[in-house]
Amino acid sequence: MITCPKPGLNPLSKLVLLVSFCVLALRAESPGQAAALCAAVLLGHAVTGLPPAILWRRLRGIAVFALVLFLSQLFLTGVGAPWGVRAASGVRMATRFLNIILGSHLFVSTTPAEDLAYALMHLGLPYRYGFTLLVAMRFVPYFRLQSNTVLQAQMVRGIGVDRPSLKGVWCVARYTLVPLVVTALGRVESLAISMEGRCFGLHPRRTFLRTVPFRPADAVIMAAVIAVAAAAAAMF
Amino acid sequence: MASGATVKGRRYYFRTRDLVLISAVSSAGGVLSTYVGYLGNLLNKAFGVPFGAGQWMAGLHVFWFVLVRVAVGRTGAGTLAGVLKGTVEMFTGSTHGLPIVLISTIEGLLVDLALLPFTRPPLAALCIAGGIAAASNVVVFQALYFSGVSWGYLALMILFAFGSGIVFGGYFADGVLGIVEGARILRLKPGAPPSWAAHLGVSGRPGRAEHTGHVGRARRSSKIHLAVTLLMGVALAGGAVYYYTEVFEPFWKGPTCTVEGKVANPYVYRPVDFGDEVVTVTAELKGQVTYRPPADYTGVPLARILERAHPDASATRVRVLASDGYEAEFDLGDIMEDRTLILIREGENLRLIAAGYEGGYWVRMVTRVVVQ
Repeated sequence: MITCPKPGLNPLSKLVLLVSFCVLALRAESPGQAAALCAAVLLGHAVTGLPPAILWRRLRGIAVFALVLFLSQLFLTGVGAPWGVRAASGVRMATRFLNIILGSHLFVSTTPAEDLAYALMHLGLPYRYGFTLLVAMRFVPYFRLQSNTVLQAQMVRGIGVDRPSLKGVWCVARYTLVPLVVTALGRVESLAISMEGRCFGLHPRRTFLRTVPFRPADAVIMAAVIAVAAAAAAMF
Repeated sequence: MASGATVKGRRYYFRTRDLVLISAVSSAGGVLSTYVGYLGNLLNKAFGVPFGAGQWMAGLHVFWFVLVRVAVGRTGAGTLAGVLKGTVEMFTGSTHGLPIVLISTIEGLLVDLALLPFTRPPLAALCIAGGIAAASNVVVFQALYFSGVSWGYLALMILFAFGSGIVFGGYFADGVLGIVEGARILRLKPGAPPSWAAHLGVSGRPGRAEHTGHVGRARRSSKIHLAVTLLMGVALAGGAVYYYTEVFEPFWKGPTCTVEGKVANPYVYRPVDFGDEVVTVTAELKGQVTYRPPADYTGVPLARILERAHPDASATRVRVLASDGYEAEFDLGDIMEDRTLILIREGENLRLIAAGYEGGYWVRMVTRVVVQ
């Protein structure tokens, strides 16, 4: 048996932490509360050791979209209300969005999907269903390559799959989705037969080569986080 | 409804093949969603709106759930695909973070609910399921973020998403199912509805072209294509007209001032909004230093401007403030009875003409009217 060597929280604790954080981010009304949450999640990024330059490169598009949200609140909604009210609404909307994305980014950066699947299976999720997440994640690099190949092939043929028009949307659907679906389904039979040939699903339970430990600290943190989120949500 | 698989006496709701199919299709959907989202943003830019136009892509997100639900033929497949697709999207860098899992799950759940009575649903059921599921994302986003956009604009986005869901989640998904079934990649349950593969440019089952039904089906599908195109064109045109006449606020270049304080409806005053309220008064400026002989001034009565803001019953005073800090204070009751106190446009500024008052009550460069 291989135990997950990395120290730190169990993925389920992190998931509870993320959900609680998102609840707080959605409930935060004042810019001060939102800024405090933003500072907390940025501190979390700093603790994980993610270089700021990489963080910025990954999230600059998100920051730009948050700015668009702010400006849209300022100029397009609540017309007639004082500028201060509209600006506060814009700040609230932009920071809410930013906090949720930053929190999710922190979770994804520190939690492999496989660990999450194994943790869920240890918690009691039937392994046949837990395995679906593992299979889906394993397919990602393959489908990414396939979709890029298909898109580039269609663009080389002059098909406007990259054009922002309704025709472009239809082209994406017709010339990209169909090949990708055929590719995906083409893999299904071989993998299913291979799995069944190895007696997948024969037993109601199974042992795991890899385990993700759930420590007492995880339980304490989960309980504390839920309590804090519930209390804060009730107070806001 | 198909029965589940049996392995060594144990009965499973989903066979291994079903689970792999759900995983594979969800993974493909999650991977392509990033690109679909990118195209949605381009559509927003093309239409010049911060969000909303991207809802034309919403159907491409639910297409996968409809496909899986029909391919597996069991209720729950759509929901499981929703959970998986959302999780894949989140882990592969979705710009929505955790909420995408919730949105995806709800979309898959709605597909399951809408197709509950069917093992192999007809085209109409697929279109309805796709439309409802696609429209749900607008509602969930609004519930999460409370963006404050008008209900009309929200309804418009729901309409776009619903139309997209009908086309891509229903009509298109049915065509793709016809293709994969015709190519023998997938074997669906018997009693399948007519395939629309011919319309998609790929023949359906081998040898079908020899049958007389092929030509008729192709003609029928082209009529449906025309009808759907017309429907979407009308919806788009109607949506654009609604947005630019009811929602979109052009950036006002002229002078403005805020009406605020003890009022039920604070707002930004713009002379153009009071085109029908304009009056002309003759007034003479008698200041301690400045004197202007009687002249005609045309503007909007301050009383009318305040009426639109609905002052509180407890309000008694009105302060008119200029951008340089100068201000004049009036009795609210006097203003409401006096229609000769007017705000006029003076170049790029507003000016208060206070006929009957001393020159010190004539305020230039008015930026705020505060009710106290």
